[in-house]
Amino acid sequence: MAPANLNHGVGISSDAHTVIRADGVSRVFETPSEQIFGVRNVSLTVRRGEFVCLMGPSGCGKSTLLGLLAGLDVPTEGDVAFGEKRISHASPEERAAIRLRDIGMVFQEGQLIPEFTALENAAFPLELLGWSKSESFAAGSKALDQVGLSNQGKRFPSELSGGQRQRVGIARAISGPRQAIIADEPTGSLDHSNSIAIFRLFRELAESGYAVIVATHDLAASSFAHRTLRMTDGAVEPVSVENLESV
Amino acid sequence: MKLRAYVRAVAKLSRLRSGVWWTLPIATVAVLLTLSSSVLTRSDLTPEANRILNFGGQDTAVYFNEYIPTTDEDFDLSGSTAELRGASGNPVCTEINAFVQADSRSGQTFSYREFDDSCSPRAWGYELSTGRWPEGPGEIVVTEATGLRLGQVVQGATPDELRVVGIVSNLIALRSQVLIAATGTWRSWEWPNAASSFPRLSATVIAYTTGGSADVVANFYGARAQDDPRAALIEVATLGSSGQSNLGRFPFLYLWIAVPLTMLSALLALGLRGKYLTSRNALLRFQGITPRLSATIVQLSAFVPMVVAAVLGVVAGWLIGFGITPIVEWIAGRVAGPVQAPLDPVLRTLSGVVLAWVASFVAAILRSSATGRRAVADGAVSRSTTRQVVAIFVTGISIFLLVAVRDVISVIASTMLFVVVLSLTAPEIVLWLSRIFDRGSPGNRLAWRRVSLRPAVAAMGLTAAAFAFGPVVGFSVILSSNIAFQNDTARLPPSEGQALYYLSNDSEIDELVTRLVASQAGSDSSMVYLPMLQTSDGGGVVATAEGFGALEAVATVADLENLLGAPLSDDSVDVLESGGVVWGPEYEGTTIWTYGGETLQPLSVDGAVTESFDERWARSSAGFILQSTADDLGLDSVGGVLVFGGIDDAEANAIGDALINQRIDPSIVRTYRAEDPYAITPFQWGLIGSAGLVGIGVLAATMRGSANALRLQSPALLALGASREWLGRVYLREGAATLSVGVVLGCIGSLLITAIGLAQLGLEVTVPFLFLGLYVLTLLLGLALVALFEFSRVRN
Repeated sequence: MAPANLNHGVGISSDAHTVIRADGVSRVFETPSEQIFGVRNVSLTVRRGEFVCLMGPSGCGKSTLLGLLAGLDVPTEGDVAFGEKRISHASPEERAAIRLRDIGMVFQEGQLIPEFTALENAAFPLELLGWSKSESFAAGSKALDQVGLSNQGKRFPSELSGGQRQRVGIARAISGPRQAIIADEPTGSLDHSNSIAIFRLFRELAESGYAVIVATHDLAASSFAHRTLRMTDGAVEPVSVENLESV
Repeated sequence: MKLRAYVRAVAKLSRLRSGVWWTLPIATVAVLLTLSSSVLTRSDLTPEANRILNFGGQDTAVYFNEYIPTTDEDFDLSGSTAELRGASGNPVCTEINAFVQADSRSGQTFSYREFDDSCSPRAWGYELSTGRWPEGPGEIVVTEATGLRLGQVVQGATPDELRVVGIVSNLIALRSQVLIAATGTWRSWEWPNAASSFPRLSATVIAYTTGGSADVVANFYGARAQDDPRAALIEVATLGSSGQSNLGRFPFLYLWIAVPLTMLSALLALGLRGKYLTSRNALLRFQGITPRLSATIVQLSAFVPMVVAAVLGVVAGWLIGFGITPIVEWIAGRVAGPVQAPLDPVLRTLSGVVLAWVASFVAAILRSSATGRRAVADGAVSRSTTRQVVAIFVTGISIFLLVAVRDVISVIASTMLFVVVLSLTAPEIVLWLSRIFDRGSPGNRLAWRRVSLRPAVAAMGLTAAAFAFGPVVGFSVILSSNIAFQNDTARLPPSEGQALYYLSNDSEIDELVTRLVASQAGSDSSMVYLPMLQTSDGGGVVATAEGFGALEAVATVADLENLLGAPLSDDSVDVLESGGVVWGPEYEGTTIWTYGGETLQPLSVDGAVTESFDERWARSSAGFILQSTADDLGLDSVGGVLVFGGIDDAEANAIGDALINQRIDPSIVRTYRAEDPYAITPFQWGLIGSAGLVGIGVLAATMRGSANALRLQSPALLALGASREWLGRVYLREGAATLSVGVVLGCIGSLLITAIGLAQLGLEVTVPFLFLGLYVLTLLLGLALVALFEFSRVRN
């Protein structure tokens, strides 16, 4: 089967604006009785300034694909590259370093560090990068400001609402000179209005230069995304706005 | 139906969702309690072994605890045994029982037993392995543990030499070091001359008979008390009253340690599970169950795993008890009795668990109405007034024990209570410390915040660390301080060997001993005579009007310089020679005091100077005058001690040999080395080892819990770009934070309490750095191994 070409009018080969590139990527999980395709032969590029929405039913492989794109996992076939760097062949330490420097991860319910305040959470990746505390906190504070939580920096996650926690998670993802944001079900535990606010924020971040890829069930996401992809049984195909209901 | 649903809820909630690690402290304590109980119980004699070893197959033993140098001349043995025979209506056999020092150099002491003709050593379990039984005075058989060989002659232990004619063994007392002499040996020595040559050679007579009922004992006491004022010295042991178990002998160990220790472990376990239990309580309430019923279900679900852990721990300890039989027998020196059913540890362990659970249950019921969503959420340290009140109360008891009850047990108990106070206040301590230390790198911050936001875990780790290190510090400091005190009282100059001979009333022996010691001492050694100064009416001489400080007299200035091991200043020499006194650092003035009547009387000397001589001397002697000055003051010199300085090991041995050759007890000249080893008995090792093992067990459980909690967080942290190494370092920092706080507070607190306690007892604190260093190193190595294992789990 030919790989699904989802390159938005450009070839698989990267250009100066390509941030994330997957080339014929598959991820197979071996069980004693069978092989399970988590991701099946996917090719994809995400460019700077682009908001890509990945939709599909539970268990279709969205999180697995995001994990491969973020370097949390490596494909059993194909290549994943971040910029010029082929991360599918990098060591776990090299992949961790790329995530830390270039990729902001956003999870369902924020996955904040409960022992840290909102500001400390936002500044955390930068401190790990070796930035000074004052520089990290300044950048973290700016990121909190961007997500509308400039007054909540001293609060612990337990003192924030679900929506606020998710915004802190996004602030953590965009603090510092990141190039990409990868979000896995970022609005899974939020109400509709909070979800809309989060997707709007992703759109704004994309327009400010980030490459954003979001896996979600929420149909509202597609109205903010530049591209919406449908994932079924590990394979990816583009979807038009008219076909959204079938996703 | 409803009840069945509730029971099912308890069963479901009882499952150890968060792993078994939080019940490990209870299981560890239960294992150790059972094991120690089993070991102690099994080191007891069985009734039959007790009958053989202590009663020679009979059932009554009468100890005439009047130490007799000889027999019938001073003590009416035949009369006493006749009375006993009359009381019991059965034959009586007697034993002369003494301790003899077979080798003055090694200090090896053997038990001397001599039975009369009506007793056979076989009745006490002795069986001949080689040679023959002794037949005439001076012949002995010995147990294998003495290390003596067939045909060997033992000199210096008794007035006449003893010849080994047989080797015996005793299965009930494998390691006992016993000499069994032929009947009549003791009487064959030349009394009373033998008493002068061997002043410490004295014996107790034991009479054995059958029929030791309470009536017999009462009759015997009655018969004695009527016409013998020394009857109070007699002790009667019967088979029924002896053979008390070690559980009975060390009740404090079980009453004051076993139950509180289990209770503490259970409370910690409940605290560790607190958040889980609180959240489940809230969930049940959200389903419509009443607050009290939901609290009951949740508390029962906590109780079940604790009981299971306690029972499994007891069973494991009991089974291990079977496996360590050879070690028990080696330590006890005899064949161990059968393994006892672990009923006592079961009851004590369970009572600790039940007490802790009841306390927790009552608290849960009381606060059940307050439980709500707030309790489900993450939160900082909750302030518990009850806990703080209990901490203040326990602190009060600890201080009371330390200040009001002046004995060593109180110091140890006070140290243990201090650890309990640490445990109760641990949440506040870690919170306060975390505010200081949670700065710097994010790893450091995360480690300290994790400690402070999980106060139950922190309390457990901190208590375990303090428990493992604190009491051992206190205990070893007490022991070493006591040894140092004994060294000091020997007035031993630093880095020099010394021989002391306390003059007896027998001038012939004194002269002989002095000559022998002087002839064997090297040319660089010195001899100084320190008489006991007395007034004409027998009163003593002291330095202060309050009756403190011994005043010593020396013949010459050179004697004093030899004694102190350093030259005196010109001022001191002038003062001494002009009839004055040289004081140690804490004294001054030209007045000395005599006592004897109700009030102390002053005596003036011609001048005084203070000299900073070695503190060992300063502690035992307030000051010195010349003998001529004492004579001028009308003081008598009576008895006293001859101090031979500069004695090396070879000279000390030669002195011993010379005394033996002259048929004099070599131990009447006491030789000292500059350094005495710091020795701990097996029982003390057992206590120290148990404390260490409990501490390590609980700490290992805590560290595993921390590792598990961090592993739950690790996916998000790794996704953010944190490396596995970084996660591992956070874990190590977290462990190090808890451990270091516990160790530092435990050690400093225990040292402080011990120092205060010892000061109350008038002892100076001596810290056994080498022992403590080795102990701490061993414990830390053990913990490091656990930490590395968990570190690899976190990292991978």
